[in-house]
Amino acid sequence: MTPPRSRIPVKLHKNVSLLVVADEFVAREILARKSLSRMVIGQVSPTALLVETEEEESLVEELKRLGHAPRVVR
Amino acid sequence: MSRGEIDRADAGAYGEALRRYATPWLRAVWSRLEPADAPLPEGVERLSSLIASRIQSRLEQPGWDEALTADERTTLRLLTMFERSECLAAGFAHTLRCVGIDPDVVLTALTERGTAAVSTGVLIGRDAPPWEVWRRPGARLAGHPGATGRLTRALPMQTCALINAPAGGREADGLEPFLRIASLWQRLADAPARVTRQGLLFKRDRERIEDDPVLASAIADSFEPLPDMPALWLELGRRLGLIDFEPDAERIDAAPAEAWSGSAESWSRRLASAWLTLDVWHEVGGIRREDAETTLAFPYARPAILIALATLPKDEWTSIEQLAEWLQANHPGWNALTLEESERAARRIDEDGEPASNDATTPSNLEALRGFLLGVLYQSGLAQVAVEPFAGTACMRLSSAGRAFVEGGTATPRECPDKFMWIQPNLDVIAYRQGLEPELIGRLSRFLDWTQLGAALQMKLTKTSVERGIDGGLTAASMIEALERHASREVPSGAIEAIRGWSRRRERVTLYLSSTLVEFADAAERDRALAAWPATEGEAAPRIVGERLLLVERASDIPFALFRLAGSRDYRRPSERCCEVGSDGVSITIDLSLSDLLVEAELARLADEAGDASGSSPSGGSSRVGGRRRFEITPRSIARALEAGWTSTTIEHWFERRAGTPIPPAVALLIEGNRPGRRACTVERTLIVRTRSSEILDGLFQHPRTRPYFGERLGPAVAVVVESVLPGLRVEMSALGLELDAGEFDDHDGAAETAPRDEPGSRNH
Repeated sequence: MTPPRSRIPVKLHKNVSLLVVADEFVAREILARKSLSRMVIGQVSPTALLVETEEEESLVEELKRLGHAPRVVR
Repeated sequence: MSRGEIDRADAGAYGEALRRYATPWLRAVWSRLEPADAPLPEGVERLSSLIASRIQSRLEQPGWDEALTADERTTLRLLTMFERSECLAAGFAHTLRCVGIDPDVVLTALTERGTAAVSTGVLIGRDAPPWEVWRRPGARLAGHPGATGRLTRALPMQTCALINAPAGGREADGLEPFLRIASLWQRLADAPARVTRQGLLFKRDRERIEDDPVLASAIADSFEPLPDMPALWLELGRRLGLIDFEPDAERIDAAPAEAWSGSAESWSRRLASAWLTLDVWHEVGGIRREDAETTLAFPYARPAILIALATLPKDEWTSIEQLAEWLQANHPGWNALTLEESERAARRIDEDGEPASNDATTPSNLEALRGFLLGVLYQSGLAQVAVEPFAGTACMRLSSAGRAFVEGGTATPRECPDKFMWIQPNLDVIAYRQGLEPELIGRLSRFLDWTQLGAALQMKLTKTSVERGIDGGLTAASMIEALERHASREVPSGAIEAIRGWSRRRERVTLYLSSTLVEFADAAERDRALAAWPATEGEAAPRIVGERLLLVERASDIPFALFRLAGSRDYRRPSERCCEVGSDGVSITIDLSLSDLLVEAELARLADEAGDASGSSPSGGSSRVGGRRRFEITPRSIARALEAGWTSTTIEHWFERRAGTPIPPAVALLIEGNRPGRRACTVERTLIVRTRSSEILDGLFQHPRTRPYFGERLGPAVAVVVESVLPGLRVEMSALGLELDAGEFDDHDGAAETAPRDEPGSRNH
């Protein structure tokens, strides 16, 4: 490991429920679908969406209905 | 901790038990270890730690066990067969009786000397010493971790009589339990089972597991069926750490794939230990009912039977009947259903001097023993079975793995060919068992479904199985590589394409349920960290999810030495108050050390960024991870929030949650401004009416004909009237016999109204 010149200031966000998609088009597709967009509580980047943790099962079901095969990392 | 003391983790269950001794009992144990004039250490923690380390020092001396009796040595050997060398004391007493050892003598001696410790879950007080307490219901026994691991072989005891050596013994490969648990592991990885608060499986999940054709199918290489197999595999899987039971989450899930790692020999030992001491399953009755209040006795006879087999000379055989007679001679209650029955049988001998007559070799008496020898020991690969040529009797002896387990040695490793699989174009995979070992079973289970378990094994490559592989951290390349390494012929191109296609699809959308995001000041700092991030095998690399964000699957993987922590936020906790509202009501400052990503997402809708409160640019600088940022709520931003579905109530709650203040009037004003068709205010000329007395004004305010003409009451005899309604008020007062002197306003003839414009009473405050 190469030591950095100085310690890099960071902020940690722990236990975040995040939906990460391959490209912007998938994100737009998700946001355009009302049943999915209601579970999205924020967007941290064009391909990363903050989602409600409690909605895991319905989120996965909805994504499958949309033709995706979401990978779930616990 | 001073030199020579033993820490909590090393002492394990034994240390935990000692720490619950009242001080006099610890002193009593200490006095047996040290000379009478040795200083007595103070405090339970210190004393228990010193006792554990003194015993450890003695165990490190050669020939330490020569001071022990043969029974004590055998007892310690038996104790090591239990997980963490810890078990139910009453159950272990049954084990000892089965090998002909008097538990009262041995357990008292070992606990008095501190070689074993007793635990009741609570403090063992002054009323009774631990060496008596072990007889209490529920008491547990734990051997010193060093003592129990040092005996390398059991001492001679009564050897079973030999019978004619049969021709050709059979030995199972010991893989069947692992294959079954692997199938169950897959089912749970695909869909975890739900359990009630009491730990019982929900009906639907129980049926799914019980009716599973792979889990419940008969074992091809078997002498004796195993009852309740799906429940047995579930219980063994839990004990082996391959299946996670999460009581808080009320679910049973597959353990992470890494749980399968370990050498074949270590897995063989772990399985033997888990199955031998599995006290919720019986060789005849199957899994014990959850509400059963008694404890099964036969599970505690298993280690004794194994020790008996170990006393046979190598290459010699014994029969089930001979073993039964040996057990019967040692303890007439060996085959009791419950520990209570076993205890009663032992007491009868103590009191009457002779056991109740019982033929040990009747079929009903042999059932459990037969199930253990031909079922458990055979399937776990610990014993060989042969049929005696004259009488056709089943005979047993320990296998190399069995001897290694009992004697603590090393088993002869099995030769495993590297190429043992055939992959068909229809994605079926045929495998020969000879190439497998537990770790490899686990590796293949990650991305291949077990569909048939027999002499040859059948697996299937499916979309679900490949998705499971991806979820478990595999890549398309690693799955293809595993197939190519073990396939006897070239892997069909269709199989390779199927893996790639399903993997691509799976990787398009990933839901991280509890990820950690590392936020940097800017992309350059993020890239600097990424370049210095150490690559560790088995850990997923961090993933870029935004200009300033890296996603890490587990917070423990973060190389904290690289970073200075400017803030930390746990999203399972309620949101922090991190916003401050300015005196103008519309400017909001975020404290970035307290804020989270949600507040930024929320403010992106509710407000416009107005610049960095610390003076640097809003989009960069270290203030992004530690300073303050300023936002302003504008008519446009409020319109945007309302458009996105926020309501005035949502906004009110947001201010309470994020700033700890009620909604500022200035913001309420902006919301009001976004309500179409509603006037916020109107402009009117008003006059002051002064009455002679307050009673007159009281009457005018109360009477239904005059009340609607008045506006705000400014004093006891002073009120406001809109100029335009003055003529109407005069008419009404005149009708009541009251004169209105309007002075200079009398001639007003503009837009005179004879009736109030609003509903009666609406001007009345």
